Amino acid sequence: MLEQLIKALAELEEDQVLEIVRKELAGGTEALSILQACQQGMTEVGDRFEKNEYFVSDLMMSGEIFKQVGELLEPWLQSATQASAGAVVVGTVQGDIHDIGKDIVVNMLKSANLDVTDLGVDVPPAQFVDALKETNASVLGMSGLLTLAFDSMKETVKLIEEAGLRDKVRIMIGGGPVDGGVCKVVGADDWGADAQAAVRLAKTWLEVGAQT
Amino acid sequence: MHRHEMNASGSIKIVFQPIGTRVEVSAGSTVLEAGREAGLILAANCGGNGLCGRCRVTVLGENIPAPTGAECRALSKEEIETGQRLACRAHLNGNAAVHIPRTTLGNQQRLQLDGRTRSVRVDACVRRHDIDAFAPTLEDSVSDFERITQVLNSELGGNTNWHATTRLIRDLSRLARESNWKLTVFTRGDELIGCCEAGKRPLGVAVDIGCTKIAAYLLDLETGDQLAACGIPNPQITYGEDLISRLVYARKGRKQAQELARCVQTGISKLIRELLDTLADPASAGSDQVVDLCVVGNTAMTHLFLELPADGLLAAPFIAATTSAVDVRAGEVGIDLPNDVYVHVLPAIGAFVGADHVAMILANGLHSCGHVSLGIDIGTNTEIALSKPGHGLLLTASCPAGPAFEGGHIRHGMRAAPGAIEKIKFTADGLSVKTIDDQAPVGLCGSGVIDAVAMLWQTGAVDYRGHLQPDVAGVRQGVSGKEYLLVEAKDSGHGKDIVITQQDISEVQLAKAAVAASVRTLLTLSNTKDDEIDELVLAGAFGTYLDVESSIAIGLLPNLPNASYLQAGNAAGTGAKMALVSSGMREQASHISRLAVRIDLIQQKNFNRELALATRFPKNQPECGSEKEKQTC
Repeated sequence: MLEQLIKALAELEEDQVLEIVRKELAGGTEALSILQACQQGMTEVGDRFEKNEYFVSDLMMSGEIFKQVGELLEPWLQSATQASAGAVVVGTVQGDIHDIGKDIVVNMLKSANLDVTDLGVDVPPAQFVDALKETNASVLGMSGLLTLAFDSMKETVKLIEEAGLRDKVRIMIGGGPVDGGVCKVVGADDWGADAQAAVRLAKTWLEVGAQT
Repeated sequence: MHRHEMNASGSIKIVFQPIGTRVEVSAGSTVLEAGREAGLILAANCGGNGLCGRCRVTVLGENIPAPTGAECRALSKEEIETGQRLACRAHLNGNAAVHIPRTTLGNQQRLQLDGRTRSVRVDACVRRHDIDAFAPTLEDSVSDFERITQVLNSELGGNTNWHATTRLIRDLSRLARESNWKLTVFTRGDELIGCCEAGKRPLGVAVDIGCTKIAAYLLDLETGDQLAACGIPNPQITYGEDLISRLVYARKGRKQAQELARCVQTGISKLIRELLDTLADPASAGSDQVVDLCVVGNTAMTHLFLELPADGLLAAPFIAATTSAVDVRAGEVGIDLPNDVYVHVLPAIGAFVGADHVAMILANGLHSCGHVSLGIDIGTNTEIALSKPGHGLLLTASCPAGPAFEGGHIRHGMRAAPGAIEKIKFTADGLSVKTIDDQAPVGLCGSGVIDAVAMLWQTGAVDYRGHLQPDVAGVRQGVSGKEYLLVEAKDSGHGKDIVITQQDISEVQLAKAAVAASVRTLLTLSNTKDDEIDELVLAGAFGTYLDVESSIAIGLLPNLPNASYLQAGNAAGTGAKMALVSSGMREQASHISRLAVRIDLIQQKNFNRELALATRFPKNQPECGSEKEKQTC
């Protein structure tokens, strides 16, 4: 049955996914295994995106489905949370309110079993710093589509330095016009062209961090 | 090494073909800069940053520097070998001939000028008064200006304290004496703003400043009749196709902001001259008869025109310098006219819902008619109004639908120029395509893109998620994923296949989802059911040309059971014309601006879910050939 769940999610069939999840829960399957199956489905979606078989619209849909599943599973998962692979703080920077891409990244990171703190949109630099302190996260993702957002990113990186956190936090940025040049100007560690790149960066950094 | 060919001052001569325009620029200028200098409008969608690859030209000459990295990315090896370059990247160090292909020259797009006109009671702000005064004598020694205003007061039966600028008094005095005290004066409120030969009628110009084009109309201010119309591409286009690039440019400094403002201001001045020239008897109308101007445009366009600081439009919380109506002397905004004419800019609703949207609502009477209506102006930025006059409710929202509907970000997309596929039908004999001016097809414009996607969905070439089905005829593997062959190379105008790619379909899905989710959100927020809506008004050029059935089939437009679908043409221009000839309409525009509630879609909790769902194609399609009441003006 969980094989079917993985397949239904990979095929982006929301009704089917939710029906299977409900059935499995009623049948006593552990919420954690259901979640893991969904995560596998999401990984498949990400793979198809990288192979140019899926597109942004599909990522948006998969994110929505995953969110619905999350809501169904939440009451069952509270006692049995699996060990997270690491903590990440994500937000759209001050002066920008685009959240579609940011939400896709958040959902993809969550499905990769990361503990994600989503600060939303128009996030002032100080709020990023506070969140990093609170969550002890070692990865920060900043999103922005507007050219002016780059100034906010730069300012946030500066404030993180001043707070003495720069050595402990790896910073990635993303958004429509973001590229290597922007990354350098902003002072981030790396950048991603899509949600898959964000997941890859976060996972690599967290694995390296865990080993040292 | 070649010695660069240049004269002592370091300037070089460039000739643009096939137009034959010549220009002298300083060595090292880019082709785009030289083009601007020559007054040519080259497509530079990305603002001249070497990203979009749309400004292709062929450069012939010697001493041309090697292609830059950006050019090598945007152009194929063969193209570079044949001398193709990007106008924005290619620097010119010596005399050269530049060939601009039709697709790169921006000013051949089809401009759309007409809209539906509601009947309006003509009641212009500027009035004509024919003066016939007695010449001064030793006994009647009143000064010139007072002599004329005395006649005005006796004619109007009041005791108005008239005023005028020194410039006008100068002209008035001279004209009065030359004409032996028989002349026409124009008043606006208690100001004398103009004068001309006796008996000439007051004329006004309505202007719609669009991102891609500026449309202007000449009207008789006393009858409300339209005497002439013309349009030009917005000259700001060489500073970037999208308004963000232009706002960013204006933000660089005062000089840059002025540069962009001058662009539009000069364009409007040019349009006014053209309008007067196109009259049947140009001698009968002079520029001294143009005594009122009314301007609409989106908030960014009106800000750039008025040189208002536009920084607030670039970042959240997105605040305009002003959304009120503005009255400014034409001379102050670079429009040179003989009289002291004012420019009236209609009020806006917010940073992304501008005076053009107010004009659209005004033109279609959405705020005052008795029924529930939706007004949609689809473009790169789409504005939507939902009016429920019975509830005193007027909701507006804007959503960035992206450039897909204008043929942007689409592999073989193009603007609505000759050779663009504008309609596609799937018949028993296969595909039939209709192009603009019936020329051999070279690409797809917005309405063609919509038809193409609708055809793919209706024939099962894509599934409801938008994925091309590999086993369907026409679907093949292209260089960057799956694609569908629309026109074979042998039938196209440039000898290459015309395809729609999986990536294109995805762009259309995102764009149509933005519009559909926005409409859905406004309906939900106002608790409006689909069957309550009486009318759906589609405004703007794209809304006029798109096929309503195709748009419903792919879910771009809602399938409303009781609504009539009206394609209203350039409704913003129509609204501007109405406000030009009627003070009452100007008041109504201000009323709309105050009444309208702006909905911030991003703040709506379910918006992103609506958006994701709306990327899919609707399964309950309207039956083929269903008789949906459809009017086209």
